[in-house]
Amino acid sequence: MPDQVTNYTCPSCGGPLRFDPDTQKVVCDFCGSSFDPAEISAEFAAANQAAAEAGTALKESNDVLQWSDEEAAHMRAYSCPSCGAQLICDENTAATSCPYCGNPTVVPAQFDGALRPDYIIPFRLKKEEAVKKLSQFYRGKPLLPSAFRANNHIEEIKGVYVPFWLYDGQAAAELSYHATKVHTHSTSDEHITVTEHYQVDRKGTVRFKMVPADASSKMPDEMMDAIEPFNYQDLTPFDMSYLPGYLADKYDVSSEEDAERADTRMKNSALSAISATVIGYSSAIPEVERVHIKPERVHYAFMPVWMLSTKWDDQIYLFAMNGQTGKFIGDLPVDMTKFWLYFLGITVFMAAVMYVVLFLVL
Amino acid sequence: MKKLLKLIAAAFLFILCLRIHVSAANTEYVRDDYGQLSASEINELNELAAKVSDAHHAGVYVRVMPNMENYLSIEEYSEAVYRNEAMGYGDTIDGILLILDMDTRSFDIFVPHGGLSETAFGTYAREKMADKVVNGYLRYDDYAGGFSNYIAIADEYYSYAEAGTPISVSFDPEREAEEAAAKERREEAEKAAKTGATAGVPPIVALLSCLVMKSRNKTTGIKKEADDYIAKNGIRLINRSDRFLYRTESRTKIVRDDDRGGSGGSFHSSSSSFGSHTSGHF
Repeated sequence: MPDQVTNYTCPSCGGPLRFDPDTQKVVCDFCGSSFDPAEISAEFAAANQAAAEAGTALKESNDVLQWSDEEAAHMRAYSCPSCGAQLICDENTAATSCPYCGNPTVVPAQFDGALRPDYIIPFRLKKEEAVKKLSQFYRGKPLLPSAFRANNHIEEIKGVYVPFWLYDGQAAAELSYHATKVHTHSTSDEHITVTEHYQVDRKGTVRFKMVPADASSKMPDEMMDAIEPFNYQDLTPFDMSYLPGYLADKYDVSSEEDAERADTRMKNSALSAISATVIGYSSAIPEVERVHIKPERVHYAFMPVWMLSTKWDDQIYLFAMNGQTGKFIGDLPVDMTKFWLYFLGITVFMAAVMYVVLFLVL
Repeated sequence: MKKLLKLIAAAFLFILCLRIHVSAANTEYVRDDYGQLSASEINELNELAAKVSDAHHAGVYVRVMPNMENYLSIEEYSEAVYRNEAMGYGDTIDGILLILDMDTRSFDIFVPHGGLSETAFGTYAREKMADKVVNGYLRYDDYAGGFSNYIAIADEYYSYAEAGTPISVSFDPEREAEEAAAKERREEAEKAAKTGATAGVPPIVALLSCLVMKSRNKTTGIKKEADDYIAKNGIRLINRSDRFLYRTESRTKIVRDDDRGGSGGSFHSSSSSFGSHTSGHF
């Protein structure tokens, strides 16, 4: 059980540190200092070690709140090393901020051993860009209720490092088709259609690298899939110093549980890739389509995601932005009155244009 | 004076004999030597032909023959029959003959030069008549119907010729009426299509446009494929086999206008020193 939290505070002034996407450094907003993530990581590792040896490490607090057994099983309380306030987190929380003093806090034990991610893609885009993207996201959507556009306000915006499993694997595909080539020609009194029938067999392999599937049950799968792709060129070995200022949870969906999602995607793509070699036929009806996935390495990575929530008409609308590429997604409400008005308008306009063209011009 | 009166009387008798001869020869307007028609049908057709012939002073004849005897062509045969049976009215032996050779299933419509018939039955009129009679009836072995129709058409075309407007390419009220009706039908069909398009297409386009607009409001979804994650040079084809099995062939006959029932038989029109012909097979 994790029992220690680390406050990332400025070595110069003691102010809270945060990772800055613009400079890709850990910065202090109070004194303006900036540090290389590796440098700050080494410093805090040494400090934690010293505190542990001195017996002054900040411990998990379990003497204040009285939880039910069920709650106790899933909740954790920590004392903020900076102000002493209690931080109530769930069992997976790996990085958060103290709601009282605002100090970014990391739970290093969430990254111990096998829990330590292999990679992280640091945030490239800031909160302001997510807010800007949200207002841009409303553009070009004529069926968005006007009241939603005018009255909805961001309830919450948070930068989250979402745990992802990245699957390597090889798909072995075996396909058989009954294919035809059709030729037609005519004589003076007959149209002649000649159909040549073929047995088409294909066997091949398709290698996949790092097919992602989010490993957090809190994150809607359809949102995490939709913000893909991430640019893997920015994958860097995991370091906790990228976390200050953001939220992070360790995975709570195992790689075995998530594997099916990745396998399905690999199977579909392998089928498409191998079947794309069946060319030059008028038709190809599949008779055998066998794909076997041979799993290879599974990587554990943290991906940057801005999560935004807005409230309108007593309903929460959730949006997500890829913190690296800026791809913005989310489901917006549809004004059905506008839908039918547009339908009527387009119908009348088109009917008028067609009447003029068909009856008056032609 | 006596001599002159004798001469006048002789001339009158000669003319009278000639008229009697012509009328007597033309009484058998419809004759069937092949036995295709019943006696009552022959009687009815004869009455009808006599009535039309007398009305226009031009004989309307039908002959159904088992073969062409020793004649080389149906045209030669029809001229011989016309001449041998002394068909026709008046000095111009005016008339029209439809003759069938049942052995070769060939026909000829013959009109001698010089009379009303030549005016009434030019090439266009003869071919139009052949199209109606041959393609409409004789091809289907409806002989009584065909001959009845032939006599009725003859009556109609003689009437147009007498009125100074014989049936021709430039004057064909029936064709003009058909063309006008066809044009009206085309225009009505076009109008219906335009109305249908004006009423039907806009709602479909509008609905599709609105659905596209609606889809813009939903941008989340589970990914089904992993194309972005195929490794560089990661596709390897181990076996590629395309084996020919067999070949099938289907043939569809090209349908042309002249294959359709009821119209379109090809006719041949020609002319000789005696008269004009339109002939063919049925």
